Parts: sequence; structure tokens; C-alpha cells
Amino acid sequence: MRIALDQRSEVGTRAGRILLAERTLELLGLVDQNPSDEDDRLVRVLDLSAYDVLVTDAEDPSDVLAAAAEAGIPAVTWVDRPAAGVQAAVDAAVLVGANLGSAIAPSLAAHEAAGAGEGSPIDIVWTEPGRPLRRGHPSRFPDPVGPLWAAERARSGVVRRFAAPTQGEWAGAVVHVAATEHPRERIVAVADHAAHLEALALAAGALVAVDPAFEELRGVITVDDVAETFLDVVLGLGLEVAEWRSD
Amino acid sequence: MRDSAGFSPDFARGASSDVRPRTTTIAAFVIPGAIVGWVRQRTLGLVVVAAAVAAAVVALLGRRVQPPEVSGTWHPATQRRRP
Repeated sequence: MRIALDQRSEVGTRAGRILLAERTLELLGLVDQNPSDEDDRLVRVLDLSAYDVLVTDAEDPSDVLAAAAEAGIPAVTWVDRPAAGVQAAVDAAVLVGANLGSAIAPSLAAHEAAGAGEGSPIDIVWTEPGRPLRRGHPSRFPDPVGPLWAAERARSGVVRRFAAPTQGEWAGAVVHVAATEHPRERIVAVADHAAHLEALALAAGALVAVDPAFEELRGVITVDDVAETFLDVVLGLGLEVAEWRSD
Repeated sequence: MRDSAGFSPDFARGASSDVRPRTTTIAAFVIPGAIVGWVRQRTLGLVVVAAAVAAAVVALLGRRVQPPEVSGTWHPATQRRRP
């Protein structure tokens, strides 16, 4: 596979290093940058159409998405749906929101929900940078994140989404499924270095986008559309999941 | 029993005449000094107490109130549940 990386921050740098560890990677092209590492697979992008997918960690990826659309290749963005809109190639898709809150957390939730029974209430909580709250929805993340208060962000049927502001370099996501079948509840979570988790999500998005099944998709999609594939990929990249067991 | 200057009469009784004015002079300086010192000390005390109360309030407001404890522990999810 050939992946073009538009790297603007630490997330993109880390995602690039994760992708370089993949044996199936033929080429990692850097957009508008010269590679500094001595890896034969690391090159500067000269022609985007020579790549299978474009990955970007830009907060405003509109310009690079336009270039990917022009080149006719799919794209993956770290940010959620960009404010400036998304331009996708006619016969390719753009996966938006390849990050902790919009990709890793919902993919965990989708997997747990599938085995929990119809209509089981699901709470999805993720951390985000900010001052910790003093009240709200109580959430318990694995160490080193620990317990945090979270604020509700969205609600869709039985699924509630929360964000827990926290300071420091650690981040996490928790999925609580109150199953209607046995076992009565299941809580799974991830916690790690914030930039690493974001990079894992972005790198996993890139690998999902080069999957043959992705070629059938068109337009703007989210991880909700490819949740199981995404979870398989991100687990393969080394994401470790914890499970809560009550005493 | 003490006189108006706060000294024991016994002290004055045995003193020579040239000593009494000096004692009065000393008293005239010591008593206002003591009063001023007491006021200053009290003010300082009030300042110290106010600072301590302010620090406690700031610490209380800034304290991270954590969610209630739940008994249980995290374990590696070694096996994924298949739907």
C-alpha cells in the first residue's frame, strides 16, 4: 500500500511512525515535506494520484482534501467533519474523524452493543483537553487517567456521548453498556498517551481506507460506517483494551 | 494592687525621689508602646487569620472533586466478545 501523509502536528508524526511499522507499507509519501529519516519507503509526494489514500492531521484540511479529490484517491481526516466542508473524489470516499472520540470510542461501543441485546443503553465517554469539571456524568477511566466528570455532548436513542475534559498528556475512552441480557453490564476502556491514541486512530483510519471493502464506499463517511473493520485494525496496531470488573 | 501606671506601689515606696520621675517617664513610654504593640499584634493576627481563610477558600474552590468511588478494578480485556 502507498499512503500519502499530510503531517502538521505530533499526531501526524506519530501516525507516520506507526504506519512505517506496517510490513505491507510500500511507500509513505510526505505532502510538502522532505523526509528526514533514512527509510527507503519515506519520500516526498510528487504525484498524489500515485497513492492509495491521503491521510491528514490538519485542523483545516480543505486544501489537501481538494488535492486528493482531484487526484481521485480516498482521504482520511483526523478532525471531525471540517467546517469548510469536504470535497470527495467522485469515485472515492473521505473518512472523517479518525480520532479518539469519534473513532476509537464509537468502534468499541459498536462492538459491545452488538453483543448486548437490542435497546441496551450505551454511554460513550472520551477525554479531551480542558479544565476538569466539578460535576456532571461520573466516569472512571483506567490509570493513569482515573476518575473524571463528563458533560453530555450528544444523545441518539439509547446512545449517550460524553466528553470529559482533563489536563495533562494522558487520554482515554470508556464505553459502558447496560446490557439487557447476561452479563448485565460491561465496561471497556482504553487509556494511553493522548497523542499516541490520536495517532493510532489516524493510522487505523488510513489502513481501513486501503481495505478493499472501503473502495465500495462513496462520499463522506464516519467510523460508525466501518466500526468493526476499524476496531480490528486499531487492535492490530497495538491498542490495548481494559475491562472493568466489579468486586 | 497597682497604680494607674500599672506598677506596684511597693516598687515606688522603696524608691528614691529621683527614681519616681524616671519610672513615670518609662511608664509613659511603655504603656502607649504596649497598647500600640497590642493593636499591631492584633492587626497582624487578623491579617494572618484572613490570609489563612482566603487560602483555604481558594484551595477548596480549586480542589478537584472526583466522582464517587466504585468498587472494582480494571483488567486487560484479553478476549473480545464476538457478537
